[in-house]
Parts: sequence; C-alpha cells; structure tokens
Amino acid sequence: MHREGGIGTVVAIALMMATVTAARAKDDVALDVKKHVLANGMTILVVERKAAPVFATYMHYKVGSANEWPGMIGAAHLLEHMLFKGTQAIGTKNYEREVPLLVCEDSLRAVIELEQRADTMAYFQRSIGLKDVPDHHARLAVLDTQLDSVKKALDGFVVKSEYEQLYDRNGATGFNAGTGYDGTTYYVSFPSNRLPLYFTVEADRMAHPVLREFYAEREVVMEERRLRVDNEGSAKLFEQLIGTAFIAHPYQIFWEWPSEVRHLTRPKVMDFYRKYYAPNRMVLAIVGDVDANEVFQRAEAAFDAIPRQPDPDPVFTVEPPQEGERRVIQEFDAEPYLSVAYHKTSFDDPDEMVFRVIHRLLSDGRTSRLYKSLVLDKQIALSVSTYEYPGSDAGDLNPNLFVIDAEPKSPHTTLEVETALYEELDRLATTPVEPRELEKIKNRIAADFIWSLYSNLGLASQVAEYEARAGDWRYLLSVRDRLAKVTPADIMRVAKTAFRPENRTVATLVPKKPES
Amino acid sequence: MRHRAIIRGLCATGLLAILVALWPAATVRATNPYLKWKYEDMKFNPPVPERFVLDNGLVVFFLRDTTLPVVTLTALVRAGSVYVPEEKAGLGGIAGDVLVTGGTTSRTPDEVDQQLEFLGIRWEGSVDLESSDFSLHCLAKDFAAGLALYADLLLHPGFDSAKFQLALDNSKEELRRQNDSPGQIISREFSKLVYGHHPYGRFATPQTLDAISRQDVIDFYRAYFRPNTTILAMSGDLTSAAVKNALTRTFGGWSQADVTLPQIPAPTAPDNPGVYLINKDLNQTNIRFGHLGIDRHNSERHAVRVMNDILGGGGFTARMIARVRSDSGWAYSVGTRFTAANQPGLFYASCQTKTQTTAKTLALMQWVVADLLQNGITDEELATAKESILNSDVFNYETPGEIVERYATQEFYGFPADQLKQDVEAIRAVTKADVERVARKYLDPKHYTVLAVGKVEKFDAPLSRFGRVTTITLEEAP
Repeated sequence: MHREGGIGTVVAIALMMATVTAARAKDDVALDVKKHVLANGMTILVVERKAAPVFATYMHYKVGSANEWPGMIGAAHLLEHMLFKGTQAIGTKNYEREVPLLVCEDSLRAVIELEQRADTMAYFQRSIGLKDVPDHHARLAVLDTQLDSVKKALDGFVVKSEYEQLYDRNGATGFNAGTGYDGTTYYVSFPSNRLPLYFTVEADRMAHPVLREFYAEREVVMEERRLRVDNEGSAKLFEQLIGTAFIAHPYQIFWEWPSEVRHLTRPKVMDFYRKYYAPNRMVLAIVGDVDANEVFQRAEAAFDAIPRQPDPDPVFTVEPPQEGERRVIQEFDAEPYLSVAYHKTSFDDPDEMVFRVIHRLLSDGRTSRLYKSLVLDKQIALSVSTYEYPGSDAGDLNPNLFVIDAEPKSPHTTLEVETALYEELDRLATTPVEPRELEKIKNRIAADFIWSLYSNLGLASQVAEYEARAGDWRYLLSVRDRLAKVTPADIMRVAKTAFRPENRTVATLVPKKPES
Repeated sequence: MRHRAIIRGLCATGLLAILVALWPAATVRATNPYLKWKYEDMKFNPPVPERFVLDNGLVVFFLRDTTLPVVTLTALVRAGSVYVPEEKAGLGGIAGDVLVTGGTTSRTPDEVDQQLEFLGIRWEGSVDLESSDFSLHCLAKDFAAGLALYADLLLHPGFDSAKFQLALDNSKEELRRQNDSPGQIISREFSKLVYGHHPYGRFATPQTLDAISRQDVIDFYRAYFRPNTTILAMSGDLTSAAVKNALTRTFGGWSQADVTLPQIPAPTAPDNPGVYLINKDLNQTNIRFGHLGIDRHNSERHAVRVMNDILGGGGFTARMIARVRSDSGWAYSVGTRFTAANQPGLFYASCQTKTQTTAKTLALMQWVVADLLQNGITDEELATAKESILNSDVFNYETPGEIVERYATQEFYGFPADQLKQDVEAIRAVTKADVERVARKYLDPKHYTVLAVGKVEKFDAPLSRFGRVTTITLEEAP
C-alpha cells in the first residue's frame, strides 16, 4: 500500500504537480485521468469531458462504520448527515453568538443523562426497600425546562437548510452522500461555471463544520433504520445473516443500533470527525467540463491551509476462521426468503478476480448458472442473486462475504432452493468451466467496464474508489486486465476452498402471520 | 468536563435560565458571502439529435457520440397496460416479460439469450402504464449483431409457451409477496383508493391472472406494436448514414397498420374520501394522503412544479421536509409529489414515521399544506425554486443517451421539439400569484384520501380526527 507521509511527518512534501496519465487502454477507451496530490495529502483526480457544460464531483473519505467502536456505533453515519448542516459561515445568523449556546446544550444534555442514570438507580434502590433514596425528578424537570429554553434560543440562529439552498439555487443536482464500512462519500454535480463556488464551500465544510440541529438529526437517523431495516423482512434477515457470519469483525453490524445512536452526542461525533476527516484521508474526483489545471489550482487555494493529520489506526480485528456451518432463522410477516454467506478474501488477495468471475458465472444474466437452474429449469425460485458484502466497487479493505439470496417459489421451500444452490456450487468446484462460457463472462466484464464510465458521476466514483483503496486509480485498469486472465483451474480451486459447508452461514426468513 | 461543571453550577443556582433569557437574540447577520456570488447563465447549444422517418412511419432520433465505443437504442411503443381490460389486469407486465424472454419465430429463447449475453449486450423491456419501452445497450463493434437480434425480437417475437407459463407463474408468486413490504402496500392501495376502477388504479389479482392466456399476449402485441406507433431513440459511435442504412434494412419491412388506441377517460374523484387504515405489526407507520392531480399537458404545470418544489418536492429547502424532518426529526423520507400521466395523475404527500408520532406527523404535514394555502409563499422561496430548476437545466443534456430519449419521449407525448426551451421560458415567467393560484386550484384539503399502514392500536392518537375511518383488510397470500 502506498502511503503519503508517515505519522508525524511535518516536512513539507514538494508539491507533486506531476500528473499520472494512463495510455489509451484496451477496447479503444481513452481514460485520461490527471492526478495531483496537495502538500497536505489531499488527492485530486480529474477527467476532462467537454460534451455537456457540467461536472460531477465525488469526494471519498477513508472512514466508515468499520472504524466505530462500542458506544460509537452510528457515529460515521450520523456525522455524514450532520455535514449537511452548515459551517461557521453557512446555516447561521451569527456563529459567535450561536456557539456558546451549542456548548450549553451539549453540557445540559450531559448533566441530564447523568441525572437519568442516577434516577434509574434510585428507582431500583426504592424497589428493594431502601429508604432515604434521593429524588431526581424535580431536578430533571428543571433541567428539561432549561434545555427547552436553550433549544428555543438556538432555533433563532438557524438559517434553515442554507447549504442545500445555496447549492440548489446554483443548479446543483444529485447532492447527497453515503456511508459505507470503509469509506464515506459526498457527491454533487454542478453547471461548469460553479467550480469556484464548489471549492470554496467544500473547503469551508471540511475545515469549519458546525453540527447544528444535531439532536433532531439523531432522530432522523433512527427513523432511517426503521425504514430500511426494521420493517423489511429481507433486511431483517440480512442483519441476522451477517451478525451470525461475523463474530469479531465490524462488518458484522448491518445498521447502527438505536440503543447506541440514542446516546451519541455532538462532542462525541465531533471527536470522530477530528480523528478521521483530514485532507490526507480524502480523494476527490471531478469529471466533466473542467480544465484540470484550473481544478488543481482551485483545490490548492481552497484546501492547502487545512493541515494534514496523523493516520488513525486501521481496523486490526481479524475475523477468526469459521469452523462449522451456522444457521439462523428470522421470523417476519413476509414470504420465505433465503440468504447464504461464505467468508472470502479482501481486495488485495489475488483470488479476488476469481470471485468476481464466479459471481458472474452464477448470477449475471439469463444464461447464468443459478438463474438457469433455479428459475428456469427447476422453477423453484422467483429470483436469485449473488453479491459480495460489504461489496464496494474497488473491493473491501478486509475479508468479506460472498452472499447468495433467493426467493423460493411456492410451494417450493427454502430447503429445496438450498439443495439446488449447493449442487451448482459443487459443480463449480468439480467441473472445469467450458472455454466459451468463460469467454462470455470476459466479454461481459469488458463491456460493463466501458458502461461504468458512461456518466460523469459513474466515472468519478470509479476512479476515486480505486484510488482510495489502492493508492492509485490505475488499480481499476489492472482489475480489468487481471480478470481477463482467470482460468477454469482457478475457478475450481477457489470454489473448492470457499464453498465448504463449514465456511457457510444460512439465514432463513420464516413467515410469521399476524395474530388476528 | 469543565463545561459540565460550570453548567451544573449554573443549573444549581438557577442562573442558566436567566442567562439564556438574556442572551442576545439572533440578529440578521451580514448576508452569507457565498449567496451573493452570481454567475452568468450558461451559454450552451446542446447537441440536437437528427430526426428521420422511415417509409413505414417509424420515427428515429439519432445522436452521434464518439466519447465511448458504445451504442444505445430504445424503442418507445404506444402499448400500455391501461389498454388491457380490467378482467385481465396483469397482462401488460406478462406481455413485457414474454417479449423480452420469449425468443423469436426463428430463434429459441435460449439462442437469443446466449447470443446477446455472449457479447455482453444488455437487452431489457417492460410494458408500463401508457407506453412500452425496449432497450439495447451494446459495444459499437457488436452493433450489427445486436441490431439484428433487437429487430428480430421486436418484429418477430416468438411468444414461447414455456416462457409465457413461467412469466404467469412468476406473476402469481409476486402477488403472493405483494404485502411483504409496507412501501409496496401503501403505493398500491393508495392508487386503488383514489382511482377506483379507473385503468390507472388496476392491479393483478389471482382471478385476473387466471384469465390471461398466451393468445392474449399475442393479441396485445398485434394490436399495438407497429412502426407507426413506435419511436426509436438511438445514440452512439456510428455515422448517420450507417444508422439509416442499418435501420432501413432491419425495420424497413415492418408493416404499418391503423392502430386505434382505446380512449381512456379522465378518472373521477372517489365518492368517499376519508381515512383508511391497514393494520400491520410494524414499528413505523407509512402515511400517504392526497387526491387527483394534473395531467402531463396541463397548461399550468410549470407553476404547479414550482409550487410543489416549495411545498414538499424540492429537496431539503421544501417546507414539508424542513418541518417534518429537520425541525422535528420525525421522518427520514417525507415529501409531496404530482405524478404525470395523460389523464390527471395523483397529488400526494407521504412519509414514514415511528408508530408513536403517527398522528402528530400527519397533522403537521396537513398543516404545511394548509399554511401554504392560507399564507402563500415568500419571494425568496419563489426565487430558490425557479433558480434551482433553471440553473440545473443543463443536466437535461448530460449524456447522449438521455438527450435522444428526451426528444423521443417529447414527441411520443405530443410535445414540440423545442419543449425544453419552452419549459425554461415558462418557468422563468412563473410569479408568486401563479404559484398561489395553482395551489388553491390543485390542492384540496377538504377531499383528502388518507391512508396509513402500521400498528394502529399503538398510534399516538386515533386518526378519526382526520376523517371518517375505514379499516382495510389485505387479502391473504393464496
């Protein structure tokens, strides 16, 4: 892995104006990526595309939910939400007067939390017959009143959604963000003449964010979990699947637990921000109607003053080998569903390419093996799909899962689907893939590679993700070239190792009909 | 910790409340500098696709693009599920499936799949409410092979009977699963409540699926799939001459026919708007309320768009999102929408909120609409909504595939070729009075149909104060 400067490096690194450009690649796709690294470690990638007067931006920070720890679960996601709430200049009527109130609010909430804990203990002490236990209710009531007055005062300072409004009025589209396990990304597209605005505002966002409206947003994040997990059977099942497959690694948590989010505070989340958000942990890709040199100059003018920070520890936890099949059942008011997961490699393992080919052999298209067997021939499933989890485009930082999902078709059961699934996995391990089938996969990979570059945002996300993962965006090209070299023998070897029953976790959704 | 000690001291002495009360109120600060930055309007002449018509009436839009060695091809056909009789609801979806998977008269389904997938060609299609679309994405080097298969599939579909049976069986399984997800329940049941028996509100049932035969699929295809009911949108790394040649060769033999599209009447508002409840053991309630909206040709649609952006359609600055999400934290996803159709579509507001905040969230959402109706909008809201639409107009021309599809869609729905330019002018002309007028005209709080899916007995308050309550029982999976 390439690393820019070690911990404590203070010597200014000579501005690396040297840009790296790949030669015209195979299939006549020119991928002319220009790269520039600021002295503070921020990496900028640019692809000039003049077709339409717009540009897409994709900003990737090397931090995600895998970097959280007990008590801080949800911090990465909540922080991602909070970084839309403005800065010292945006979203406030007067930051200098607002900030003491923010401190006041945090402190009051801390005092209230302590009082509530004491109150819980007092309740228990009374329940076992102790006398003279102090009463906390009166104090809590006073504190609540005070908190209300602080909140009301703070509301007066907020300029609602000013950051979004500023971008909207300037014609921004697709202004959004996403939190993964190993990376958090912020993206937006603009008409091409808004480049100065983008850089000025984003540098402000990185250097001076203000997490105002924090405690309402915490509720929003909990509402998001209800929407995406609690009330969707397949998601509830998936939460059980990965929680069972991983016993140690942070990839085990599918979505933040409400019990932890409820106790995240602004100071705690600011600490998380300070620890992980730094220019040397960020890759920015811009694709569209821009001039690369202008982008580099503007990036430098806007971001250069933001200091580099020491790299925090990576995730050290290594998932111990699984030594026996694990099975888990989720009851839910929905039709049956099956998810099966196998442990596999991380992005830097040579067999990663083999898994990508296996994924396509199994479930890419109507001629894929699982589709043919389960959906067309045996007709025991409505759908079947395979994917890696977490499954970021550039591969995952730590060993991940190969997952197979299927919806059985009534009256066929999850068990019948499971059996048919294993037959196909066994076939992969015992019979070499025919050359034509492998050629089909390679053709599809080559075509999809080109399509992945079609939109500005698509191309920006590809180069940024690969750069962030491997320290060099050309890893993207190497993946394509290495995929072309996968052999039938590789596939058999990897299938034999990975698809063993003892490496497997099986999760089944069992319908639970409502009592009526 | 230090702050905490100070605050604790202040709390103990009661001084904090006094301090906060005395704290200088927020004064309007010097305007945010970024907001003053002004930019010239983008001067941009977007590429205009070439339009030509084959002798058989097939309209083609083509845009040459050499950025990547690829070709996109989409056919829009005047074949919609609204033309299917009520007793065969679900036929549209099955027809779409069979046209994609059923092979051709000279190639088995497996041959088609093998040939397309070997070349990495993506071939997809579906029958929607008022149109069907079938698209092909291939590398430029495979264009000849891809086009030959594409034309064969569209002109000489095989309607393979095993594939028909599979599509029918899969539709039955989907029906069995249609109540698994609350989002799917609310959008289906809300449409049914507002549209009643109108074709826009039809959904398959076990009975209608049992009434569908392979011959119905063939008849549907024969009735609507003709060159004169189809528009092709094409872009890619090819020359115009090569495209004309290739299309004449492959589509030139497709014969015209008079096609009479069944008249679809305007939907009528439901007789019994009110509150409808679906009880399901969830920890979050799906809420939706609204009524009939406007059709896609409505002359006031631009003012409606601006109005809806301000009300709840335009991202975080929209009122409903600001009140329900960022002020209150009661929802992750909340907003309002007008759907587009040839006859009036829907207007609705929707959100998901935890069971314990159901009634107060619904009340707040309805208040946001009422407040806009009563107090109108501000100049700043109008400016934000208009600038946002106008300044993002260039994104209508981002990729060649989008450009040709936009031109094709415009013509498909009877809009002039310069519609995008007209839209810009129309948005520019929208005034505050326009917005307030269309709000009063198209928002009708007295006739809301309200639907909530969730754990009814745990709601924070009964929803009877929002209207007469009817409980809907969903049919069990067959």
